[in-house]
Amino acid sequence: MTATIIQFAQICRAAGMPVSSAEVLDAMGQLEWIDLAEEKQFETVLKANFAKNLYHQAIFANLYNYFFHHLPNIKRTRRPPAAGKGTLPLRGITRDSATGGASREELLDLLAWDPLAHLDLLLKIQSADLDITQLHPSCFAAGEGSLTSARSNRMKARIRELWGRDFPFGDESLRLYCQEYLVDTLPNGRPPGAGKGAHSLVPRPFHRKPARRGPANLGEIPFQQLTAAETRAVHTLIARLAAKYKDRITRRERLQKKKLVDIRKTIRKSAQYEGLPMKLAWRKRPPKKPKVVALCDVSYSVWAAVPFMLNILYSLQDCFRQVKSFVFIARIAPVSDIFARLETMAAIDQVMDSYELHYPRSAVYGGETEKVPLDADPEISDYGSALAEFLEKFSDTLDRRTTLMILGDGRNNFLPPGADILKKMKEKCRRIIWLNPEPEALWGDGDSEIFAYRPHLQELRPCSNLQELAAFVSDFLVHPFYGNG
Amino acid sequence: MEFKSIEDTIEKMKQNDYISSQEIATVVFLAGVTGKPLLIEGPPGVGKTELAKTVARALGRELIRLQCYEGIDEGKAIYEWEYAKQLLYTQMLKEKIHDIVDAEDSLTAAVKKIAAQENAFFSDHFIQARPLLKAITSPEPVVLLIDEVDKSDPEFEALLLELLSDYQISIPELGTIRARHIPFVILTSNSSREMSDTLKRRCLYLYIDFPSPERERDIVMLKYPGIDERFANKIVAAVTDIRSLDLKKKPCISETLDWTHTLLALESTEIPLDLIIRTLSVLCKHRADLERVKEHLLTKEGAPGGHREKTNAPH
Repeated sequence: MTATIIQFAQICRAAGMPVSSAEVLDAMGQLEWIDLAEEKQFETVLKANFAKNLYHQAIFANLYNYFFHHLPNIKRTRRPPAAGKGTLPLRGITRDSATGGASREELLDLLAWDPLAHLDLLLKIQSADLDITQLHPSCFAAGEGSLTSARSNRMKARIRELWGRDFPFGDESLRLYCQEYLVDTLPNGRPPGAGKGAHSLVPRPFHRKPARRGPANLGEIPFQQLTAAETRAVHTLIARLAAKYKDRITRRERLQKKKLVDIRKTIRKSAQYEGLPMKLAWRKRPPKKPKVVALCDVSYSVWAAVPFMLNILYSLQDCFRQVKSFVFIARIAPVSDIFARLETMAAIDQVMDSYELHYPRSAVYGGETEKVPLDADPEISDYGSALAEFLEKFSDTLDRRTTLMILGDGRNNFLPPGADILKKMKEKCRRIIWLNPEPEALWGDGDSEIFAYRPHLQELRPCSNLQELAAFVSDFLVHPFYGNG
Repeated sequence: MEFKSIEDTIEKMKQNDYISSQEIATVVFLAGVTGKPLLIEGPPGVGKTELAKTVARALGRELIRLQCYEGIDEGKAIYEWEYAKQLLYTQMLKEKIHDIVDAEDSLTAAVKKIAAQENAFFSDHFIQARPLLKAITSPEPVVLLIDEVDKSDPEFEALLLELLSDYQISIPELGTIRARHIPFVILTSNSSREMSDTLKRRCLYLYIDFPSPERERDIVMLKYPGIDERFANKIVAAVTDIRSLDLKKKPCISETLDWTHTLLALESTEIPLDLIIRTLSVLCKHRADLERVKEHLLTKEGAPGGHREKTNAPH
C-alpha cells in the first residue's frame, strides 16, 4: 500500500500537482481511520491531501481513475504492442525515407501535433542511454501550445538530428515500446488520423489540450490563443482589475495612517494634561511608491503577452513613482514617450504596430491590418545585446527603489545570454522580476537561457494568461509587503 | 464530544440540519480525529460557513469566528495591547512607582527596580484577546472558523501558519502560548485568490461544489418539512437548469431555499413560467443574469408569441 501511494504521489507530481512528503505521510496516517474496503473513502483521503485546488481536483480525478482502475488492467493483460491501423509505421522510417514517402509524411504529421517532447524522447531512446520501462510520465508533459517560431526552429533541429541517425531496428522490443509510448502519449491518446476510441487511456494532464470551444474563463486562456474579441475583452477586464487594484492601494494607504500608536508623541502630548494620555498619537508613514522599469521582448514568441503587460502597468501608473518601458528583440527601444503622449490603448497600438511582425490571428492593434509576412526576419531575439545596450544607454533609469520587470521567454537563439550583464543591472536596482510567457515545462529547453538568468532574479514567474499576470501584479506591485519601497 | 466514525458524522450533521455527502463527512471526520485544520473552498452559498456552524453544534462546542477582510492584521485577529489602559495605570500607580524607586540612590538602580516590575504592565491583564488567541486559550475545546481567508493579505496567512501547524501563538513580550485544547479549525475560502502552498500543506482540503439535485432536494425537504416531494423536485430541477447557464453569479443553496420559501409563501404548488419570471430576482442578483435566464426560459418554453401570452396570463 505504501509503495502504491508513493507511486501515485509521484504521478501526481509529474502532472504538476505540488504533493509534498508531509502530505503523503498525512494521507497514510489518515488511512488508518477509514474503512479501506470503501473505495470512496480511500479516494477522499487522497484527494483531501493531494489535490488542494479545484484545478488539481479535476486532474486528480483523472489520474486516480487511470492509476487505480485502468493501469492495473493494463498490467494484468500485458497489452499487446500497438500494431496495424492507428499506429505509427516506424519500421518504415529509414534514412532513405528522409527524402520523401508516406512514412515521413506520417512522422511529420505526428511532429506537427506535439513534436518536442516526442523528439527528445526518440533521441534519448536512440542514444540507448534510457531504459524505456523507467520512463517518467513527466517526459510527456511538455508538449502543448501552438508552434511558435522558436519551437518550430527547435523542432527542425531535432528532425535533422533524428534523420542523421539510424532508427534502432535491431532491437525489436525497443521499437515496440517506442511505438506504444508514442501512440499512448499522442494528443487524445491516438495518432493523427486514427479512429475514435483508440488508446484513450492516457490521463488528461499528459494530453495536448483540445481546441477550445465555446466560452471559457478568459483569465485562463493563454495570450497566444486569444481571439480578437477575447483580446478586447481581456483589455476591458484589465481596466476593471486596475481600478480594483487602485482602490486597494488607496484603502491601504488610508489604513496605514491609523495603524500604530506613536508612544513618543503620545507621552509628549500627555504633558499638556499633567501626564495623562488624553489623546493618542498615531504613527504616520508617507506612502512609498515604487518605480517600475519594464523591458518587454516583442519577438514573435512573446509578442502576444506584451500589450496586456503594458496596459496593466500604465493603468496603474498613478500608484507608482514612475513607469518606464522599453521593448526589444535584439535592439532596445524606449517607448515611455509614446505612453506620455497618447492614451494607454492608443500608445500600445502604436508600439505594437511599429514592429514588422507576423500578426497572430488575435491582432487587434495597428488598425487590425494584416502585415505582409517577411521571408526572413532581420532581427532575432538577442537578450545579451539588448541587455548590454540597456545598461549602456539607459542604466540611469535604475535606482535602489526600482523594480525591473522583464517580460520574455529567454530564448536567445543560442547567442551569448549575457547573464553577467543582468547581474550588473541587479546591483543597480532594488530587484529584478522576470515573467516568462512560456509554459514552465519548456524552460531551459533548447535555446532557452532562462536558468542562466535565474540566479540574478528575485522572482521568475510564468505569465501566459491574464490570471497569472493579475496574480503577479497583485503580489508584487499592489501588495504592501512587496509593493512599497 | 467527538465524531466516532464517518457514519456517526453524517448522522450528527443530519441531526443538526446539515445534509452532508459521504465526501464531506469523511473529510470532517478526519479533520476531527487527526486535529488537522480543514480548508474548505467553493462558490459562495454552498454551505461552507454553515458546515462550520453545524460542526460546532454537533460537537457541542462554542464557535469562535474570525471574519477575514483585506487589511486584517494580528491586532484584529490574535491580540492587541491596550496602550491607553497601560498608560492610565501608569498614571494611577505614579505614587506607588515613586515609593519603589525613592529608596534608590542612582538612576541605574531605579531603572533596574522598575524593570523588575515590567511583568505587571506586560501581562494578560493588558492584552485584548482576539478570536485566534481566544480559541487557543479557551478552557473548553472550541470550533474556530476563519471565514473567507482568501480576503486577507498574504502576510496574514503567514501569521496563521504557527497556529495551524503547532496550535500555538508567540507574543514577544509574553512568550509562546500553547493551546489548552486543540480547536477544530475550519478555514473557508471563495477562491478569490489562491492560498499559499505552505498554508494548504497544513490543512485537509475540501471543495464543496453546488450539490447534486438529489442532495439539494434532501436539503429543501429538511429545511421545509412537509413540502411535497414532487414540488421540491420541480424547484430543484428549475434551479439546476438555471445553474447550467453561463451566469455572473449562479444561484446557491441558500437562494434555492429562499426561493422555496417565496413559492410556499405564495401558496404555489406548481411552478409555471410566469411565476418563475416574477420571482426570479430571488435567484438571480445581477441584471444581466436576470435577462439571460428570462431569455433562456422563454426560448425553452417555445415561440415568443406563445409565452408572451403565458407570462401575461393571470395567475
